Amino acid sequence: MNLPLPLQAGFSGHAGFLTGIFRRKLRLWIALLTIAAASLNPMMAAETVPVKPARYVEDQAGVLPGPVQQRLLQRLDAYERETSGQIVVAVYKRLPEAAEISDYASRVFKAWRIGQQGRDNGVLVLVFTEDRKIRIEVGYGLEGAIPDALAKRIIEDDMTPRFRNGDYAGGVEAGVDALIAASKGEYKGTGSTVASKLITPKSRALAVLALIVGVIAGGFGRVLTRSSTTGLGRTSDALVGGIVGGIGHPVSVLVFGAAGIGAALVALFVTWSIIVGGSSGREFRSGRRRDWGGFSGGWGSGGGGFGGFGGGGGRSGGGGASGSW
Amino acid sequence: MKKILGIVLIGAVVLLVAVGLGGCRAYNGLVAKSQEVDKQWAQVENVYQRRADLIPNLVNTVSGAANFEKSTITEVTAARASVGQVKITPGQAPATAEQLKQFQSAQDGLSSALSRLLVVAEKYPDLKATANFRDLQAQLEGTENRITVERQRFNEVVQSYNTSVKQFPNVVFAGMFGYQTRPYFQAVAGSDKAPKVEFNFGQPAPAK
Repeated sequence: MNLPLPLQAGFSGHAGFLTGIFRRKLRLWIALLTIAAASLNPMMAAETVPVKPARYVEDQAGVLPGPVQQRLLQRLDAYERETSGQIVVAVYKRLPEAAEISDYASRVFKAWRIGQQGRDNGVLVLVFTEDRKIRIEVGYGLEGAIPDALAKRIIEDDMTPRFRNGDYAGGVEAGVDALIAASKGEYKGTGSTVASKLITPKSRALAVLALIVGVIAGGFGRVLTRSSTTGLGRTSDALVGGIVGGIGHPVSVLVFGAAGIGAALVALFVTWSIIVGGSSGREFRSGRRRDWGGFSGGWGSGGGGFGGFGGGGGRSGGGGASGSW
Repeated sequence: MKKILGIVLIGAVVLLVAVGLGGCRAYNGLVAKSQEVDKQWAQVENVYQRRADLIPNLVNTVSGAANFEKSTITEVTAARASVGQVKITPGQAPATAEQLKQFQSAQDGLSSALSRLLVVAEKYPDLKATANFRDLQAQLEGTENRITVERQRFNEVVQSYNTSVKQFPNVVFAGMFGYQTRPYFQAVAGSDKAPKVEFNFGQPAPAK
């Protein structure tokens, strides 16, 4: 359909020739982009795993009652604090079409990045109620503590007998307890979880807001204090000036006093960071970032508080066991 | 005349330096990728070794069972022995497709001998009930699973290496430094399906 374009360009004058080149370039780009998009698609299709849950326990099949989930979360939260290991339980109704459970489990394990970064000390318990299939996938870091034979025993002795009677809650709890007991001595924890260390978008927004408010208040305060006193050092200026300024304007003693103190604090902070080096904003942020830099590879957790699960590891070599009931 | 010669000389030097730098980059990239392939190959060998190590224990356990079919046991031992005969430099991924094929066919022979043995073991309920056999079975399953995973990863790493060997400008330097494409694991016909295990020995198949 576009065939005559170069021809047409050849016939028309100089300008026409140029637009011809342009158009051809554009078409080339479109073609390249299409190829790129097409080549990306199959990769995406191969990686269809469920979205990473925000907590250690995910029940899409509706077989784990609330109190049981709470108990499990509590135990798993304590487990990560104590040992740094992560055990994630996910219950679904069905495996995706044509998926093989052990292959699927290792992909989910990788996608959710279960375990600590560098340790890969995570365990994924994947249950499909309607397929009557279960898999315990063990990360590289826990293969020593939970060898395949043990995983198989946990499945066959603790879990599937209860599943057979429809007691999913009991089976999952027994399985989790057995996994915790088996892997407890393997690593030492830090007393916190990945999720609790992650700065959630909400808390980050709050910190930025506080910074902005502080800077504005400080600016106001400094302007106000400067109007009532004359040339002193910045810090003492603000502090003294805030109070003097407040007294000097009896109508709004409280307001100015508060602004003055706020200004003093901000001014103090600013001077301190100038002394330390770098502008206040950058220093503040980089300081914050150092706290969670190690986990930037992890996921922003939606859970935040208790029972929240943030990943970091995710390497497993196919260790663990599968079972059915 | 002298001026032109000077310019040409400078140009030649600049070109040489550019090519040299490019060559270094390409070479380093190839070295890194090639190491990656060997590392992953070591991982593959590791899991195969893990399986081989399980076999004596399995043979012992199975032989202990009353009148266990001897033919399946000898098959497994023979297959294991033939695996040991494949000569491959340890820790180094096979360089030719032939070498890999030899390795793979020996290992696949062991795989099928093992799965036959496990199928036969189903006929011995006393054996199946022992904790030792159960554990061994779980370990074998886990090892087969690991083999799949590591082989898959090996193919991924080799693919990345092969791509970089064939890409320009690496292709020029790869030839110069003797970096050649490495072979992949080939899927065996029917290997995408797990071996079928029949549970109804000696009984008529249930009507479907």
